[in-house]
Amino acid sequence: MSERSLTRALLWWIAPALAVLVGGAMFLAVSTASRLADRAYDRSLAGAIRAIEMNISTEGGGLSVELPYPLFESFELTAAGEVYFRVSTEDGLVMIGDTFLPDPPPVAEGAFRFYNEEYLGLPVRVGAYRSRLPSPLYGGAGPESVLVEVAESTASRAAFRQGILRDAAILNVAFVGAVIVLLIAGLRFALRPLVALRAGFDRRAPDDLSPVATAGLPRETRPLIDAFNRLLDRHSRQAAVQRQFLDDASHQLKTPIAVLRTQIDHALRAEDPRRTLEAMRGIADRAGRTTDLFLSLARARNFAQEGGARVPVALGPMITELARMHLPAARRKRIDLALDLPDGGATVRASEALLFEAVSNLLDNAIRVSPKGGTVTVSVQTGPLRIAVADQGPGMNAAQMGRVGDRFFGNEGTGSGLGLAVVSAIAEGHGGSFAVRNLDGGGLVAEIVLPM
Amino acid sequence: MRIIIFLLGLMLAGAVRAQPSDPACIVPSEPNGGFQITCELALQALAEIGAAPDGMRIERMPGGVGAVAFNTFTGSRRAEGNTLVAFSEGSLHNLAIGKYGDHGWQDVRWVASLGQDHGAVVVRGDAPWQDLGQLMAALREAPRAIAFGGSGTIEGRDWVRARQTAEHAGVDVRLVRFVSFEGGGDCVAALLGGHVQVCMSDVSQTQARMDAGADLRMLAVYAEDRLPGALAQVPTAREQGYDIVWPVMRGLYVGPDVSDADYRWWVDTFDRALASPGYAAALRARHMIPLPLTGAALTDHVAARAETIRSRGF
Repeated sequence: MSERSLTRALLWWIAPALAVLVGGAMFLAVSTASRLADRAYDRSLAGAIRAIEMNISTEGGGLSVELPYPLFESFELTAAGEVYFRVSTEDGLVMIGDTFLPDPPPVAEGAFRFYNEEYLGLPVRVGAYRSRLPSPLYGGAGPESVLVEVAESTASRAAFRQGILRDAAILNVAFVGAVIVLLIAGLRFALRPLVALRAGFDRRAPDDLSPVATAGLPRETRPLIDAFNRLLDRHSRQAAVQRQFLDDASHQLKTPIAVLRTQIDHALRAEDPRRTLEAMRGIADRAGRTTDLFLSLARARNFAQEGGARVPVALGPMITELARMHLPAARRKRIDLALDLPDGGATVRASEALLFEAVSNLLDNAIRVSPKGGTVTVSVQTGPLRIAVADQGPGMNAAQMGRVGDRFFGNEGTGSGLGLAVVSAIAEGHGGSFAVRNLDGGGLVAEIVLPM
Repeated sequence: MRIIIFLLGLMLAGAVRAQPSDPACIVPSEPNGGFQITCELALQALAEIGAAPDGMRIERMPGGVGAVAFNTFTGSRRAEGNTLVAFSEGSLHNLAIGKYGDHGWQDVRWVASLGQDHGAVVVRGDAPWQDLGQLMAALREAPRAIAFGGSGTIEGRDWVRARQTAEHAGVDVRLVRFVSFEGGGDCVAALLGGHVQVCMSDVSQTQARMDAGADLRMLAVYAEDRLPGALAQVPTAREQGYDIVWPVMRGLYVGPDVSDADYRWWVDTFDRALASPGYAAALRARHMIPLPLTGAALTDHVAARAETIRSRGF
């Protein structure tokens, strides 16, 4: 794929339009100028015709024309070419001057007529004027009309027109050139902040995800920079989350590993290490569970950030299976598991594994905090989909409730806080919410609300 | 019919020989051309035999190199017995080809031929061409740069001469500028002013202008042989290899309704005058050769010329 140059794109857009515009303007200017020139030149032709016409006399019964040679001379000087003339009566008996001038078009009496013709093989401009003689010749019925024609070679006209054309062309080419130069210079100037921006990017430290300063940048680039800053922001937050995650994970695993090391030392010195090893087993289990939760949390956050495949999940079978899974743990504490499912069943589009994990965590927590012989109820309501797990444990105080979702919450050896953080992340990742509230008669309800 | 009137005229001629009062000679073009010379010669001829004691008015009636005058004297002034109108070979030509309108040689009464002139190719004294050959070479080089002038119009005598010259030079005649003038005098004026470069003119009027101080040069005379006197050094066109001969008759006519008495008086008077020795000298001074034809003889000649022109074109 070829690289797109902003300058070239602009030039491609502007240069042809500019050329057409300037060409059109030039055409108009030149045609107007040559029309004006024609009119001016025609006027001098008319002057010469008038001079001849005024020198026509019918004194003595004849027709005599005194030709205005001085006028012709000055005319030829200004016309920079030959001047031709012809005086003829309408009956053709009298014809003075250039007898071979082409036959004129019809000329009305008392009116000038100008036209282009060819004479002696060269283009000429002819002016013709018909006037009536003051008295009839040779005793005719009425005075005859006489046609006066004056022609000049169009060389000087053509030169004049070419001069105009040349001047206009030079001016316009200079104009177009100046526009293009200014355009390029203007673009360079306008793009300078972007060049500086690029240099800034090149100098940036690899871990520098701070937003790009928009001061001094063209307004047109603001949307781009803003989008870029939002991207940076997302990256920065994700990087912070990942860093936090790593910190958390190592922090969470550091304590059990330290305790295990101490107990190993103790076991090595003890005569009977069995009790110590049993204690170690509990710590290792909890560390393993913490690791699982961290992985779940990571999966939940990835799902939230990157999106993942959602499939229709039938909640009835899923919750039934979860109950079966947690039944052994519940039995150990003689806890009843009650399921309250809607009659028609309920289905939601979600990541089945994550939803399974979330409800499993809630059940796990509920069983752990409920007293022996208590009841844990899982209920599902449709509308917005609500999955609620109610226990008969101690409930939470206000401070604890405010920290639901916080990964360190409840990290007093139980790992329940981390579990709730996973649930919260999964609910939010699906566009829903997670909340807990205390029951009046003691106990806690943890509820996931998902959009259908 | 005409013959009867003519005979009647002859019978009456002996009885009444009164000179028309206040005689006039019409120059049917601008002055200083061949027609002017014709009228001046007529006056000289009359003076030689004392036939015009009070002189003769010379009047100008330009228009179509004789066309306007011919139409006037076959129209509104057709019976003016005291007025002569000058004509030339060119007039006969124009009349025959219809340039004078719907007229023929029969429409006027031919009085006298005063003499024979010849065509000449005239350039300005400072022109670069010394003979016809150089002029034609220059014409071949740049046909548009050399404008020819002459009396009359397309198909007129001078134009035919110009066309023949261009044809001899091998030049497309459509590229040669030909400017019509109202008589040879105007052409020479334009030549001296530099508005045309060559005049298809006549010997007599050209030499008259040169004698009066005009700086002109004749490249050739369109005569059979060299002319005598001052013009002996001007070669003929034929000598220079171009077979063009243009004799130019100069004469006078009167209107068709002029009375037989007046017509006879004019014919008889010119018969006598043309035979006088003084007139022969005047003719020589004009560089013309005698061609004394009057009355019936001239009419026959004109009729024959008209036939020739109609059949040959010139």
